[in-house]
Amino acid sequence: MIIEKLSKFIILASMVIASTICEAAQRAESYKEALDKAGSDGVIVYCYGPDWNRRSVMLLNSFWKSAQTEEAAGDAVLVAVPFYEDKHSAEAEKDSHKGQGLPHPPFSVCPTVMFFDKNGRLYATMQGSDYLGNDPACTEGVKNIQKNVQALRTQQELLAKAQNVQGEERAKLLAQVADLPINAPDNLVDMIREADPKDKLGYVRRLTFNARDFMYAQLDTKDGFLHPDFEPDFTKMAKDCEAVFRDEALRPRDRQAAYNLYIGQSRREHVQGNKIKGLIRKVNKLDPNTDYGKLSPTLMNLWGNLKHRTTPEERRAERAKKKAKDREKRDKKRKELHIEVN
Amino acid sequence: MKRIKPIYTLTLTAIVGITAGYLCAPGILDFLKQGLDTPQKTTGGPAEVVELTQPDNTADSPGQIIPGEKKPEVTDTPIDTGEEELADTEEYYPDIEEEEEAEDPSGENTTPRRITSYRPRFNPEEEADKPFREQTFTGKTATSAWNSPKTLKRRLGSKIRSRLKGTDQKSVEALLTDPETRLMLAQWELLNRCNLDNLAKLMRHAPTRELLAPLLNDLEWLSGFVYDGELTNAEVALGMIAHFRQVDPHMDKDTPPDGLAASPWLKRRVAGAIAAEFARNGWYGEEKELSKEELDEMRKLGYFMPNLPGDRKRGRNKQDVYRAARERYLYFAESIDQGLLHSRFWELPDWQLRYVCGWKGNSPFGTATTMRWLRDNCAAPASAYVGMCYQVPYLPTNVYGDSIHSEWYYQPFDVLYPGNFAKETRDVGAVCGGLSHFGASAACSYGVPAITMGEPGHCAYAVYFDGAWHPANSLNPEERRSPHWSIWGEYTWSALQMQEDMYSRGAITRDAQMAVTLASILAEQRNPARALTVYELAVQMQPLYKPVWGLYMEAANKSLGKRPLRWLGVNQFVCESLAGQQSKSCAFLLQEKVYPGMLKALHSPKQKLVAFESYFSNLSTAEKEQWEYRTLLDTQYNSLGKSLAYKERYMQMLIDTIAKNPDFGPWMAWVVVTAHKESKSFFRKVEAMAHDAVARYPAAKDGISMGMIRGAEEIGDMELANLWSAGYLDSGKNMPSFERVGGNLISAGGLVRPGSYDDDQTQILYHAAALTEKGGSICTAPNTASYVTVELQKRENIGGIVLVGNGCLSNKGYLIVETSVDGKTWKHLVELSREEAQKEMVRLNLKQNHPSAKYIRITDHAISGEAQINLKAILVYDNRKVK
Repeated sequence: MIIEKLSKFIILASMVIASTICEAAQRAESYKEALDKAGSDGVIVYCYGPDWNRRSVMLLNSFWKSAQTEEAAGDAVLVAVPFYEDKHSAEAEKDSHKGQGLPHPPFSVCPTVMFFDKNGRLYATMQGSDYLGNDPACTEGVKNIQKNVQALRTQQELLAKAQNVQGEERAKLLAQVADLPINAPDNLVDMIREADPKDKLGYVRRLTFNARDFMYAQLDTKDGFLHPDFEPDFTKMAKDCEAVFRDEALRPRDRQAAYNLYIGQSRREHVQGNKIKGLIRKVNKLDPNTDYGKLSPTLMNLWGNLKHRTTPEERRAERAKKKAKDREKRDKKRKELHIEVN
Repeated sequence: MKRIKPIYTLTLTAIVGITAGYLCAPGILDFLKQGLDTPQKTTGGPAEVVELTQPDNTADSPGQIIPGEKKPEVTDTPIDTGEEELADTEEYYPDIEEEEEAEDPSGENTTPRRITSYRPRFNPEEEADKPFREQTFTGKTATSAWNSPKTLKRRLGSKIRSRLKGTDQKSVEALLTDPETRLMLAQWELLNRCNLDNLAKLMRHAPTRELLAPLLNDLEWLSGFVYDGELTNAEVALGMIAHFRQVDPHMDKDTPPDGLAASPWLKRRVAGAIAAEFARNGWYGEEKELSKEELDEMRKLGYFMPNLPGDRKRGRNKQDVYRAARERYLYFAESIDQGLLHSRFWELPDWQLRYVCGWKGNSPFGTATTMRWLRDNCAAPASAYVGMCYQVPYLPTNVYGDSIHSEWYYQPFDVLYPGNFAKETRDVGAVCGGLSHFGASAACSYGVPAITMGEPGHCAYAVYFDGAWHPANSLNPEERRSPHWSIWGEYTWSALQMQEDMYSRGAITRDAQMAVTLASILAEQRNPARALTVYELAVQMQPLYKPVWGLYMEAANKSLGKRPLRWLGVNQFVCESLAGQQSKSCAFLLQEKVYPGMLKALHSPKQKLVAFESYFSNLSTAEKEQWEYRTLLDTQYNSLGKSLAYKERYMQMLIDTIAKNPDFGPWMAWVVVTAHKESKSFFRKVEAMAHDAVARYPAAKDGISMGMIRGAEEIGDMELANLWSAGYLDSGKNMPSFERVGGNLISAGGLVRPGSYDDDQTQILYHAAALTEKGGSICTAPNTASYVTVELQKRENIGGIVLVGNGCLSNKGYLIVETSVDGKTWKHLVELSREEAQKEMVRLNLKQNHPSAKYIRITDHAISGEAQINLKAILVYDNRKVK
């Protein structure tokens, strides 16, 4: 019995050791070489600017080559690629092979860490101290590397599981992929649509909903500039915003964003502060941890105490009356002069 | 007798008193002292420098020696024998030879007396390749000398003048090769830029003086501080620098981080750049309130902090500006120490440091917190800053539906981004202004020069790299860009590029600037003629150094009096130096500084014509920005008196100039308008001259026609406009197909009269075509008199109007169409709503009521964005049966 237990322990221990060894990150000289070597954890690229950005050069040793980074990267292949400002310098030409095939980072900012899966798909990017932290060891950056690598693993697991199931079950798994804090595969929405053609679970809606497009449609603008004469149908807008807010298929942040428009419009429509407070509370209650949730106390102070002399209905009626009068005047004049505009 | 005696006593006392007072005045005492001192020979070099010392008359410790401070010396260390003595006499050099041209009352002599020409000491091409670096030299002007700035200034002036052997190029250049003299020139210039009373108060505090003295004796630092950008409120800037040194005791120890080329005194130079810009602009940052400790620290220094002019009146706290500047300095000091800026920052010359470190201290994008975040999150190669603005999403309304123009756009989010406006902008969004400020401040925060600039209805920015300014987020051509600020106070794109040209010849520019100081010393010491010669030398050395021209002309006005041929020489010199590339600057200088003196001195219109011809014959490149050239031409023309013969010659000269340089075609409009005010025969002669010019210079046809049409439109001459438009009736524009409204087309052959003219004046050629069904072009300047009037050949009953726009009739506004019988009283015909104005074409069918009118006016009323008429055609039809 003891021997049996001991052998089990030995087997387990050796598996743990094996997995640790297996997870030690490898290093490559160039992006191409890294892709060739890449396993399931893909490739992580550190972009630095040898002839223009000292900080990224300093971090090369203190952060990128550190044991903590290697540990956090799992079995991803690590490669450092220099981005020279003077692309014609001897050093730049000597190092030019290192970045061959590497897509350009979203912005030419250093230091940048780019994450690719084994097929070369960019699944995450970290740029600047917001992601890396300000200390030489980039403690924050190391944590984020670990998070991203872990997220990739989960993504791959979910995608693998999804391959074995069909219909709504498959759609659910794919929707979980979309919720991970890394870039989802480009065709994810199509895959979900295929699994749930009628979007019964609402995942397609969830992934394709754009709060800004919703707002622009409500405000009747294409480019975001509001026409000074624009008078929204507040009742309709309130109804539409409520509908989005109640739609549980959507992400909380999107639901909050749609409701924010309702809050803002309420203020513009001279709704009394105490009523606006109620709307703000609803946003906070839905998810207090999003930016919009966090803003609630500020908004309560700013808009929660507003008192207006006219009711929204009176104000709207007044404006509509003026508008109708102007239009009437214009049409009357055209009629008098028998002018036809086309 | 009893009564007279006290009067005698009083008078005697007064005489003795005045004489004693006069002799005891600091200058006289110094003069006497210098005359009595034992001379010491100096041969130049740091070991042999002159030491200027003054008794320490500090107000806080009269007669008391401050611990750590050098014991005040009673007398100055003297310099070469006799120099001081000579320096204080006015007639050390003979004044300019008085063999002035014989007065010529007839004014027949028109040969300008040319100024001595300058032979370049450097090869401009070779010089442009190597960056300029001032000589390294440390002077020994005693710390205490600065507490009597007036005396110091006067004595420096005397010493410099005593070293000047003549005012010819060789003598001046010889003087400028001596580092000690260069330092003295920079010191004098600094004093010249200060309010000396305020400076005296500042320098009275020994600790402040001690903090500043090393800098004020450092030639490289001081000359960069004084000369590389405009310097006003210099004593405030010095107060700031003293404070920077107090809060950063390691200012002088800026050893560069590994791998970077040494840049000596980088932090000193950065301090100078920040102080100069903050003091000049009076920027009050949005930095946090000072803590108690920080306030104590400031008080401990105890120096006098001069107020910026006008601040007391505005009730602003002077500490705010010091605090803003201090935070900026600390940001850069920290970034330098840690090597966190772009590697090229270590190589930037002083003038570029002004742009980087002096970046908009009044902007929320200029706070240290924001700049720190930008540095750490948006560090990029210099050229990448051109696209950095696109990190910010372009969102005219925020998530609450509030417009960017409302107070609520950012306010709710402020709490999430305390003091970090750049991050807030990136997350919340912005429009052009926010995007451009983000891009420019990101560049400056990382040590790359950048500036924001205005464009009509838009905000763009520019980034400096690879030796030039590169526009970013720009929608307009360069003539429509105006930088929001500039180190030389000129806010045009061309001025910005001119600065670049100026500094590309750094050594000669610095010499020219020092020569200007020398000339100013001579001018201040009542040597206007010699000052004039040195100014002439300076402007020849570097004509792009704008401030010198004003000073030069002041000297000319003081010394030339009514010497016509000398004036003609100066006029010719100004025109030869400037008119070719900078017609506008040259015109302003002539108008403001040359003509007031010269036109009084010239005896005859013949001489005046020679003077004006100098300007015209040197023109070569038309300025891209529109400017009011008419003022200059009016001044010239009106100065010729009543003689039509001379006026005719003037017109001929101007038309020939335009014919040779068709870029100046719009000037023909002035010719038409001016000739129209004279007799009919004169007008016909001028018209004939224009035809003749086109015959002689066929390449000038478009330019001359454009000006003639514009002139005709301005004077309302329909026949003339149509005559010159005859060759331009097919604009090649694509007109949409449409059905006619009413009867016959009656607008063709009419006259277009826009409220304003767009920068692109070539479209004037197609005004007449726009009244035909082939279509043409009518475009007003943005947001300036956005209307156009069409004058029909005769009064008619209007049957219909068709308006065709370039894409749409109005960008973002609505149009009003009016009619008039006399062009003065207008009758509202129709208003086209925004939706209607968005169409490419609108047909107004006046079915029954046909107003009788000779004039039709279309006005664009902008709702948001720009109001601007931009139409392809205005077609007016009568109500008769089609012939």
